[in-house]
Amino acid sequence: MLTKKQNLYSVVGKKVNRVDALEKIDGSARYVDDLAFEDMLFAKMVCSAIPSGRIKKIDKSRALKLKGVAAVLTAADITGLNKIGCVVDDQPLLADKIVRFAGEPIAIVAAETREAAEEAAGLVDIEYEPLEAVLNVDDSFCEKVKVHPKGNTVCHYKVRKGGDIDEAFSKSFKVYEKTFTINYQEHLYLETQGCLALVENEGITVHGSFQCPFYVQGAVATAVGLPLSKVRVIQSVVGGGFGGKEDVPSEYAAKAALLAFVLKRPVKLILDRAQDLMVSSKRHPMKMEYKVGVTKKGKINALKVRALADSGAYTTLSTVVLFRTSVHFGGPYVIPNVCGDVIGLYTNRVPCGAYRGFGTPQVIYAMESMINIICNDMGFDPFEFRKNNALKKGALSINSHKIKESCGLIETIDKARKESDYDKRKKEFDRWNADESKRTLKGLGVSSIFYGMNLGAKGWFFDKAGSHIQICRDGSVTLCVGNVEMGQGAKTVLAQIAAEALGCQVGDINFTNVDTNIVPDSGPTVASRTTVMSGNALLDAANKLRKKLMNAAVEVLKLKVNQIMAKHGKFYNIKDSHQFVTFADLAKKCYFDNVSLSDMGYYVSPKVEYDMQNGQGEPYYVYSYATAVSEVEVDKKTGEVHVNKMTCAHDVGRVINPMLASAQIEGGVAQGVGYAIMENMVSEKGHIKTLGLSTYVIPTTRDFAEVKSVFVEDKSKDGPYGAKGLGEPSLMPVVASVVNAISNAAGCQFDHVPVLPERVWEALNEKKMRDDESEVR
Amino acid sequence: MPNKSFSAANLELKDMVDIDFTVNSVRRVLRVPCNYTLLDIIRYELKLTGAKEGCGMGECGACTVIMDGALAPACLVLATTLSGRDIWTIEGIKEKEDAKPIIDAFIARTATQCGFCTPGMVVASYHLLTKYESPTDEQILEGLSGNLCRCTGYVKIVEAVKEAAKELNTLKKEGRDA
Repeated sequence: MLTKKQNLYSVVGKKVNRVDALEKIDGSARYVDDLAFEDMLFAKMVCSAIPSGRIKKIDKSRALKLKGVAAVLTAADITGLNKIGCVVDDQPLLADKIVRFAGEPIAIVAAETREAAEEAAGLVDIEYEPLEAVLNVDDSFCEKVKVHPKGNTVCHYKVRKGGDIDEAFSKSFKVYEKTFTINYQEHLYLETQGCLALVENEGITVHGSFQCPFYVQGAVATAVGLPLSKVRVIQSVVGGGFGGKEDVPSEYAAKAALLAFVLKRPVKLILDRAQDLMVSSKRHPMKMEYKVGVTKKGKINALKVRALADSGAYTTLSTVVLFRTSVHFGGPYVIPNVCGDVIGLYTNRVPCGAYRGFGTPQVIYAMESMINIICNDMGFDPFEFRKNNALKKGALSINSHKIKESCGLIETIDKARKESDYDKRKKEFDRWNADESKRTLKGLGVSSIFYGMNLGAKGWFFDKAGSHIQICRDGSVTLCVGNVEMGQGAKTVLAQIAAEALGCQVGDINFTNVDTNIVPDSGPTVASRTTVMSGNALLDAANKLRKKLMNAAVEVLKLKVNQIMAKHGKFYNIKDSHQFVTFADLAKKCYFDNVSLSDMGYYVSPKVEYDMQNGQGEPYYVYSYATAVSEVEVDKKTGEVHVNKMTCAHDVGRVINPMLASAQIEGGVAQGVGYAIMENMVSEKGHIKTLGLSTYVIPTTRDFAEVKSVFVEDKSKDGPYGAKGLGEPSLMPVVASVVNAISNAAGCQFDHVPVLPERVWEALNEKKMRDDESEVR
Repeated sequence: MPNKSFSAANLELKDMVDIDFTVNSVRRVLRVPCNYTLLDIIRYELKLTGAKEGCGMGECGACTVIMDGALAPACLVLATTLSGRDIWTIEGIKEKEDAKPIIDAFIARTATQCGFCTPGMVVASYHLLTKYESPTDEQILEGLSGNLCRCTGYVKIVEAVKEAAKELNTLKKEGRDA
């Protein structure tokens, strides 16, 4: 049922079509590879052929002799600084003397055609002296070989809560221990990384596919050696990001910019799929040792976790990604005694960084698997067990963050159970599985999550957003924000927020393209923060403008402010909707009254206090919550798994657009299903072998899962209209719930992701052997 | 202008190929480098950039076009095989009367997110709906299985295709009744 207040909203909470739908559907949207400039060159990176070694010699002569080759640049040619590290300064733009992973860029070629650039890249002769490579976290941890002179630890986050952990376990009724491992996940945005750089006004302009144009601006300025104001970054339409276009595009933009700066010609650098798969960042593989103590009544009383994350050869975003891991490894539960260590380790493998969920889906998988084991062993109902331990208002998280508001976790658990028809399905599945003539087994799995909003304690200093709104004299509106549209629907949701606040129609709103010369620096488009951050920045500006429009409406309608309501492009008498003045007429009136209808907005994320030494305090200001239920079917003969249905209950505060929200969830489900059962990046001796879409397999329509999305709207006081973020939470519970469903069907808990058919088949055979043996006895 | 062809810089006349074919019902007579693919030709010579390169290996479907009535990944079709062919790209298909319900349904069902796969998905959907008047779920899933999408989970796309099929059938019925 709608409350009175909800009824008042005219566009917020409504199903509004995407504002960018048509241009994407009819193919007219311009992605970076659709752009071209006169006299443009094509670039190609020359990448390391070995995972670890010294560069003894780089011979460009054969490449330079090829017709159409304009330049081959190496570290020695960099006009600014040879560094690209986004958080820690440990990564060169082009490898200098040492290479630390197979695929690390060493040189960059520019040529008249893409084909010539490709050919020339193969003609750059590099002589290496191979060194011993560190290829897994265990070897990295013991530091027999160091990837960097300072040692192999990238970061180490500790969480210490309650008393002595061993004493706590001694008081547990039962204690469970298990180690889990999880492989990479590749973003596989359909549009590979790409950018186009040119010299303009004695500076550099870069077009491209970015999540964080202001990061790109910084990286280009550093590499070329220019002040930030001489570097202009213009956003193209982005063909998917998912975290993969957070810091990583800076590396390519800086290289293209360097070539453009040296050659004084436009340079386009589009990665082909194989190179993109080889060199771009991935989700961290992890090894996770879990120990959970439970009381007789089913309360988790102690948790000990040691998670080792493969950060790859350079830090990139590991320090912030793994900070999030350290907040989320215990799940959305109240646990009095916690001892957690999250350790990022260098290896001679591709650097890992941001990916939707940011270091959390891995530990959620481990924690939720532990809960599945506990429920199965002690006979607890999976929903009741989670509810019994769930965070709620007044409770403390594992970081001792006292939850004050907007916590709909328990409602998501209840809704997920009800909407998935869990109890009925469970009985049906039990009957199905008892029938040996069936070719398949069916299983149900549950998972709950929470997710800290915005950048949190580790990134508060750049957790801000700006906006600019201009109302034109015909009543059309131009919005200017610093976060980008990358497919998630930001433009549509932000247009709805602005339209609601201004009283205009969504159709009146246009966006200024994101351009660092024009839009305010609003930090990165990451962490599911755009709705909250840019939304609030727009509200700040819109509220100022609304006051001016309202003053004009008071004059025209001869009413008081509290007698006037604004929506759908009209300001009207609350008591008589026939008495109104249009938004356009008010804009015109203000224009001729010399009242400015242009204003800035600004928003800073709520400040949080956190003790990094013990992992205690407020890591984030508020959390989104979700519970997912998966239904899977496992082929007994082949071990193949199909996810038939997912029911996802999300508390994201106010839902601004229910259609786009469910679209986000459906997309998150597919990515999570891929991660859980099919996406298997194979790396041998430091070389990634799965460099195409027929070897790194993602879900197709053949893997289609029905998705039922339901919402719990526990409003957040700091969100625009009470909204929280959804982009990442949509994926986060999926892996754990799918693996739990497979485990429940197969009768054993899978300790490695992805759960490939071979492993399921083996597990089913092992179980059959066990069952046969026990029958013989 | 993009990927300025070999013709200017590197290639001899013997490396060029003459082709004579139809794109979106317009006859095209072109001389292109012999290693060009159909995707190179439509994107770089004809400036029809709706078809995208997602992999260049025929694995993703972002460059899907209709060639002689069948779906084809443009990145795998070589220039030398093109003469006499009839090609339809998203730019031609979007102008067709019977494509409008598909485009409308994709908008109404928010069947696009980042949009990179979408033109190819629309082409495949159009082809599917010319093949089947009222496709079953199985036929839709099979018909779109060559087009990868990383954003939507395919849910809204399948909904859009069903809605478009319904609308097309209504229009046809109205046409018959009129």
